[in-house]
Amino acid sequence: MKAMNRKIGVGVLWNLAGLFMTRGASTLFMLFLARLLAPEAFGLIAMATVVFELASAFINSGLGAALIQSKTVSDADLNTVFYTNLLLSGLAYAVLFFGSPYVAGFYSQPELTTLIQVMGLVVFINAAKVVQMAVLSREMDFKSQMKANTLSVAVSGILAVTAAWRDWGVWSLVVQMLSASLISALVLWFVSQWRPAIQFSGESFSRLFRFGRNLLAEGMLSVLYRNSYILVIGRFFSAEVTGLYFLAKKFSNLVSQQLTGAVQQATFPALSTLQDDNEALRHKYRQIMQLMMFVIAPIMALLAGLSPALFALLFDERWAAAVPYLQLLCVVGALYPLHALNMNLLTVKGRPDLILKVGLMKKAVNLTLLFLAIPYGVFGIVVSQVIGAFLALIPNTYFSARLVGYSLRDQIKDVVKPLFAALIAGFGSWFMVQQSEGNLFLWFTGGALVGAGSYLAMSFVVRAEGASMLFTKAKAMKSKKSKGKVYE
Amino acid sequence: MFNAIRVVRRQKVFVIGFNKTGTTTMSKALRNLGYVVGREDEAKSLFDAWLRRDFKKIVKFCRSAQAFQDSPFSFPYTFIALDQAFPNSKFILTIRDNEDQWYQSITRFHSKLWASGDGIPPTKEQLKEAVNSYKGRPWDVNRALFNTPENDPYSEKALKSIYLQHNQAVVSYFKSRPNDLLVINVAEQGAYQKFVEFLGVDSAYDEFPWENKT
Repeated sequence: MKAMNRKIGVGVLWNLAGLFMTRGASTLFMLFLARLLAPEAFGLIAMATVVFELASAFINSGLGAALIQSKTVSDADLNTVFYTNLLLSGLAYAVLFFGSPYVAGFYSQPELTTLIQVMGLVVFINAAKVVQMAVLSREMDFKSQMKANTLSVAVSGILAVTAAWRDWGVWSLVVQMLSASLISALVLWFVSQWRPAIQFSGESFSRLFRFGRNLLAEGMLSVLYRNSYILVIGRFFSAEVTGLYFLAKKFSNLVSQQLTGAVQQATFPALSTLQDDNEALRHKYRQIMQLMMFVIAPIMALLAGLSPALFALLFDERWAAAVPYLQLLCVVGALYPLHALNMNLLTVKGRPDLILKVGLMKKAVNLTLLFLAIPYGVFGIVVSQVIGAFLALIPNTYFSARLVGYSLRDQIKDVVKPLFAALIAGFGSWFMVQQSEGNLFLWFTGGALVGAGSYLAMSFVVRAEGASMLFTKAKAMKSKKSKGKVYE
Repeated sequence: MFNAIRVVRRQKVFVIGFNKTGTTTMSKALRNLGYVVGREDEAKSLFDAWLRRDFKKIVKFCRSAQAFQDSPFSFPYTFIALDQAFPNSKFILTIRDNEDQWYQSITRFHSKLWASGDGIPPTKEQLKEAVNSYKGRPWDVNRALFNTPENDPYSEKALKSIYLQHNQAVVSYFKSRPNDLLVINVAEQGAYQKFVEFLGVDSAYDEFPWENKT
């Protein structure tokens, strides 16, 4: 048992390391590419990617997940999934190839036809590695998967930047997608010992599909919802505006979702042990909420305040129009921990039914707001996202209040101090970068320092709980260190 | 399905210059500013309605978006019906440097689309075989717009004359309401600033996005 725990622990660490490295590298390459490419190129890829995500959801049908979840897996199972995926990917590619003119028509972007027909090859390549990934996952071999991801991100990023440098335009991003998928597949096949044999089992298919079919519809609907803003903006506006929104969204997600996700992964096992102790659970969640907002709120505020200078430093004027979108999306990002932790609470309490219920309510509200906002342009659409983020707090916190007594009012009390301090910091940094005289980098740096300083000062003034917790922990560590020193 | 969206109580913008006067560039500029632009492929089906001067169908279509360009909005007379149906709308007449430039541009473009591509404009037979929404539509449009002999559908003198007549008619119609009409050459220096000032909006851009340069 101890050996198994150690193996799981090592696997988790490699998984987290892989995620960190690949996402960091991916972000870096995205920044490089944004310097070289126009927003329109990113917009076109964003439009096309929705189609591929739908195709992937269809092809997988949860079969890969079924392999990982199954207690035992036979060669017949593996071979059956392998050939099923290849068959489905062929079918999907045919649909993509011949359906691409209709997708192009949907977006009023004729150039999407050829793009989708070429990019569709990714569907084939990805299908070929599903079983390999499942086998490695069952073996807890996240290290190999991390290597595959890292190598594919690095090589594809270099190829894409090179292509962009040589004025390949949107095709630079196509090169990135194709090469990333291909390299990842090659590495996975190299490190995995499994090889397909000519074998198909109807029994295996039936059993595995029973598990996976529940994920099929949910997966495809999830893709549509997750990309609903891209779909609507791409449909009603332009590729350029879609690209601007896409990059703004990437920036805002970089901090809030990644950090929140990491904290959730780290705390979920421990919190699950408190499942039946509502008092302790509420107390712990309050601490996590306060600490998380203390960290995330100022980062989002500073990102919003400094974004005019940040974009001017990183990109050319073509991307300047993304700044207002980013500033609004930072508001959504600042609220994200609230949503995530409330959903996490439902998971800890073993209530996935409520997660589905709340999810449907939020989706309905957000989609309604989205369609109502279309006549008001892209800026109006982003505003609707902000409104939706606030409205979503109501159903999110309703069940938290019922289950553990952590109401919306209580949560507002826990987050109002860091949010207020962050607001001061954001406006402070924004004011600094509004100065148009002198070196932009110096004003950016000054803005960051003023923002950070004012945040810490204001946190001290209002006695933010997150700051208190950090101070207390730092003090305790110092005391422990002193005690250790005495012993030495 | 998506055209079930009703864009109401929003000021309409109509781009009413002939083809090859920067209408596609204008469309993209409007989209970048956040305007919902009507779909060209669906608007082409309104050609028959325009022929019959059934502007009710065109007006009904205009409820699906905020800004419009190309067929049939750039056709003669349409702007009058739109102005009556949508008070307080903005009209943009896109023009070229002169009629010579416009004629060279449109014949070169149509030659590439429906003829040999060497700059010689298509013939009657070629236009009848051409597909644009449906087979033969280019010929139908040519007959409806240009009073030219069938054996010379791109008569230079006639096309230039009609181009000038259309522009003059638009300017004359809005003579007493100059603030509702913008006459613009998108290639001119400072044109984009005039464009955003006319619409009364802010923009992060400094110039027009270029499309279909011919």
